[in-house]
Amino acid sequence: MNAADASEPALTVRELRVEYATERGALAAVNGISFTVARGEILGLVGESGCGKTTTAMALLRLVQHPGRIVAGQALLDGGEDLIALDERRLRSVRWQRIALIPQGALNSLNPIMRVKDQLGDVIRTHEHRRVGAAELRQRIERLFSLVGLPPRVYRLYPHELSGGMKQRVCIAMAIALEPPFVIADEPTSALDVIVQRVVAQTLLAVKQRLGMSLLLIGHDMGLMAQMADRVAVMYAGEIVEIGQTREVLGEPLHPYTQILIASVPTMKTRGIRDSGGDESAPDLTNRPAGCIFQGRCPKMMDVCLTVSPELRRTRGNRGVACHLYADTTPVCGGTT
Amino acid sequence: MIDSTRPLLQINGVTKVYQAGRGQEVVALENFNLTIPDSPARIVAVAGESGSGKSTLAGIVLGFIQPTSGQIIFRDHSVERLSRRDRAIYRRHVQAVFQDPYGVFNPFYRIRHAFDVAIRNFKLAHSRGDARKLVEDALSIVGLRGDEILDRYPYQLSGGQRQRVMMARAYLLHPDLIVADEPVSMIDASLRASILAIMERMRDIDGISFIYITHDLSTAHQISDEIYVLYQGSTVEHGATSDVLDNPTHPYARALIASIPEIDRRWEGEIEGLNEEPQRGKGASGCSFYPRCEHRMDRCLSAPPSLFQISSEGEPHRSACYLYESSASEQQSEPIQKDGQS
Repeated sequence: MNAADASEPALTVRELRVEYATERGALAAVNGISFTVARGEILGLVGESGCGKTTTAMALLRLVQHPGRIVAGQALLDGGEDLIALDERRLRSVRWQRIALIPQGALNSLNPIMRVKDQLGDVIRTHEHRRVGAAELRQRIERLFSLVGLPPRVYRLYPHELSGGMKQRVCIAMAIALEPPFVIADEPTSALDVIVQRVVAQTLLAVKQRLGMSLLLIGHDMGLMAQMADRVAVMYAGEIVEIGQTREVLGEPLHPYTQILIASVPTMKTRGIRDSGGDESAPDLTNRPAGCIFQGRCPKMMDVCLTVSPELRRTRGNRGVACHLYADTTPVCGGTT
Repeated sequence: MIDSTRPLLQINGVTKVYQAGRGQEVVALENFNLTIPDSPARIVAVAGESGSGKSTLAGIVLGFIQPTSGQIIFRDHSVERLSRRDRAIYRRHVQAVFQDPYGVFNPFYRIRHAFDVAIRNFKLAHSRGDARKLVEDALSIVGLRGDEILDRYPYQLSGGQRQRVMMARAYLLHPDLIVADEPVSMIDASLRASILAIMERMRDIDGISFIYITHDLSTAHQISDEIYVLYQGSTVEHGATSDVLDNPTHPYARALIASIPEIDRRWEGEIEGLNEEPQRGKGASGCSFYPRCEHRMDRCLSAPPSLFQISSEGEPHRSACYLYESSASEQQSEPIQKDGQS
């Protein structure tokens, strides 16, 4: 076990690169991204479909499947163990215990023919490296239930007998069953109705607070990020284009893509459409253009954007932006902030 | 022949009951009423969460689902009793755009096929030249060009492009009404606005009305003129969109609006009483929101509340909640304060 150094971030990702083999060559779904998640922090990884956010989550858990492949990069837990370099045996003991996943579409990720208590019991018994007696098991599951706000009657139920919000709570309970210090939540509330979404999101925040976890929150909904994330990293075409404090990024987005993304979020305060003129010419990721990946859609494109790929640079305090508009600033090396 | 001076569409007391097995019934839609005037064209939002009955409503208006009772009246004619010829007219004038732009196209045919079929079935063109012009016009409305799109297969287009093609296909027939069932819920945020803008343009320039079915109150707020908020098959609040969404009155509508995650507002506190999710088919005799409502009273169990008028000025604003029963005694008509949503 690596003695956790309290000064190290909970997660440090460096130059992570994931490729999918396609008929037209390697497609870099995640193209060398770097970021850190501080202790007790919620970092939101936000972007639209196909931007690589879920692939990033899968890579951190080493769940990328063929034809995908992690090509390069490091992901250090507490500045020590590198998730990307772990062998299978070590990986098994790290998953669930030190890093766990609340999956996307949690509604379909429970085993339909196992009672809720047995699914939770399975996780605990498989990953606890000692015998867990029936009484202790029951006690632990009941504690998990109260943490995520599930009524005890759910104990004996099958997944199909649960509402969407309850299934989601069961998935949260499973992820925190071994009280891992780090949890990745991939769109944890995306299939829920808005009121239930709020209740479940608030449950997740309370659990995180209670257990002192760090959280990587994957999502596409800027409004939800505003409620939950301390910092956000905005992904586009496999790259982080902007990273910073949630309130600052949403309040004053700097990267042209972030600006378009924020401007397109409807609010209850203004009526009418703000058509940001978003053209949907998505870049070809098997044959990345020279220069900036956003050049095809960018309203502020300059000559330099066609030839030089902008680095993620620190500007205005702790904000990182990958855009030539902010070129007179210092590059951010490896992780940011 | 269908005449064109009456309201465009009237939905009168439509109820749909499904048999759920073991003798249980599920009321998907209950005594639903909606009127769309002949002009000016308007976008009428029907908003609700899963199980609210909004998609059942779309199916009924489009004729895929037979209502258990009630009527759809199109320009003074009951849709159920249309003659063959009038039914064809109805089919042409009421078009649909669906949620899933990946599911509506036949993957084996080029995009051109979707247009060709409509032109042939409705005999829209006399020559190939005419047909080509019609298609180009429809595509230009949605910002696409024929030479970019028509010879491609559905899988070669993005979700946003497919949804635009669907809009163009509906537009091709110059309908009076388009039923749009969650047309942007599968589209990425940065491309949503362009789809919504197309709807606005069709309303303003071409006089096409919309029934905009959605779970998303913020897009309804953006484009609709009028809104019906549904809960478990019944309208709980109805009025001009700005009235309803800026000053929601029904406890459900208020909770719904307060739960929208907005980028410039944090959720405040927790919502009490909403942890339990709705359960259907319990045969409750009173208000269907009673089990989750923070303002529930004994009165609410007696009978389902009808829609009470909130204000007599301007466009009607109605709320199905006994808090607004005008003939009620003082303690019942006391309005709830506007807290927790600013």
